[in-house]
Amino acid sequence: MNGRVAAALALALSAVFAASVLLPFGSLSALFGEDRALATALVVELRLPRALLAFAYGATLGASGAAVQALFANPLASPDLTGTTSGAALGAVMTVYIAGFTAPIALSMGSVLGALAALTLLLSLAGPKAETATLLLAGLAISALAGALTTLALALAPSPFAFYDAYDWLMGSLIDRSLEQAAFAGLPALLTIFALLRLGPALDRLALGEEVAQSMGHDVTRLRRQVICLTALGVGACVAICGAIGFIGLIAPIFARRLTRGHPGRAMAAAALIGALLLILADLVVRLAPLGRTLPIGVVTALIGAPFFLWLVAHMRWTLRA
Amino acid sequence: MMLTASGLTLPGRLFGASIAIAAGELVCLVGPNGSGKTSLLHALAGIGGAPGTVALEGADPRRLGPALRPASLTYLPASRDIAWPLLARDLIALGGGGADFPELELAPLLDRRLDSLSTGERSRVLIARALAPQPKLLLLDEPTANLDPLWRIRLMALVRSELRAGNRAALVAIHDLDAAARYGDRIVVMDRGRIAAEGLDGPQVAQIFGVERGDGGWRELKPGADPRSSP
Repeated sequence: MNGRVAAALALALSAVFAASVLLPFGSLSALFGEDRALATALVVELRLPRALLAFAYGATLGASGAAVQALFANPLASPDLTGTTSGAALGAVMTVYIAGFTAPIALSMGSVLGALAALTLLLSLAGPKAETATLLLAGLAISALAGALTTLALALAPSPFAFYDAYDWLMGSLIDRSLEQAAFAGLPALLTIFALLRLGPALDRLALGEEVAQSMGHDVTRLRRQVICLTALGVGACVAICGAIGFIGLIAPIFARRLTRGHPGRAMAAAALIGALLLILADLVVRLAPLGRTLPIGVVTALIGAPFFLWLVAHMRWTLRA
Repeated sequence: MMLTASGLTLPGRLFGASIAIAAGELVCLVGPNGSGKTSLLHALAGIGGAPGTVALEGADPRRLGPALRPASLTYLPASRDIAWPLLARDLIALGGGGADFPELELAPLLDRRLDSLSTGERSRVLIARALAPQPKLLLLDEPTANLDPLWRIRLMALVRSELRAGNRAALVAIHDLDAAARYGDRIVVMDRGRIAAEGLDGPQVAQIFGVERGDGGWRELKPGADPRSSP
């Protein structure tokens, strides 16, 4: 990614971030005229956390997606298709509804542990250098299992309203989150992204093959452990606050590698920017679509992402791996 | 000796193998399928953490990190598959070396993606990746596979001239016994995870490979019977 492309991406990201906070501008400026304090509260307490969460979650999905794709040497490995987000959701539901811990830190930890368990299971099922079919089947099995266990946990929960409570969150939602919640997701997310970026050169050399990377002095086992723990941390912390949001982690790295001449490791920075851009845009669609009611953001990303995924699978050849 | 290694062990594949290579020497490593050639290269390259000692000019290259390792040793795997469609020039650069090899005639390939190259062209690019850091020890697994006769000759001549350039050595695993005899300063024969012999002339070698030299080249020893199955 050269400087001009990076600047264009950063500019586009700033623009959609500002749009996310300020749009629709007419009603916001009208409110400013009537009640300045209310308008400020609207921006600072409702729209800013929402935009920050979309930024952090999208960037985490982009960077983690690029990292797991580099790790598995496969462009279809993403946090959702590998069952990581489903595992995180299961961990969060178990923590709240079965174990009964409702503190935000407990929720985050449960979610991170769920994501970690899903990724570890995937690695043991599919192996380190996974064929596409094995990877997708193992990811599908883990997602299905985690989804079923999540439903079971909600059905068995002591609270009769568990399903109703959890529905919005499970579908993915950035609405009505506080600045504190944004920090709970955003700080681990930023930590994850910066730590992953430091692994970029090693993940690029992994493109030469695991054996060559080892012969060049890289500890591939440790690299694998680092990527998995960091992905679990970032994705888990975001899922705990915003629920499971799919497809960003698949799509963003694919576009990002077009900007880095196919380098899977150095694509992580671009993937983070593109992931943030896509999720903020999806949230703008949620807010501004004239439907009279709010769509879950996970539905919007799936409606855009699933056809893209189908196209990708149908055309899965070398040329499309860029 | 420039390289000395002993007691290299990988469970089930390598049983305490030892080897020594002098500066400037090109040693060809031959042996039947599954005899441990690749495992020995792995053990020397620090792949898979095999127990045993390796000393390259007195120091263990397996302890070096990514910044220093490519100048010490490089490894070319037998597989020519690369998962990502990088440009040829980017792949060579990822290897950590800057040397250029006009002999490989890579100029028309450098700005092409690996998935658009033929297997032989890709081999030349991957070989350039291993040669570019100009390491003290070259570990090459089947470098001439996929190459046509002309490029086989040119490649081995290039490896030979690289060794002449300084305090360097190469260990080359190769299946073609004639090529091993032609290009190697020395031939090391592996069998069942151990170094079994030096050179191709001993009677033991025919037993190991199950072939013998005849008038028209190599031919099967005792047709119908596998000499490896009897002691």
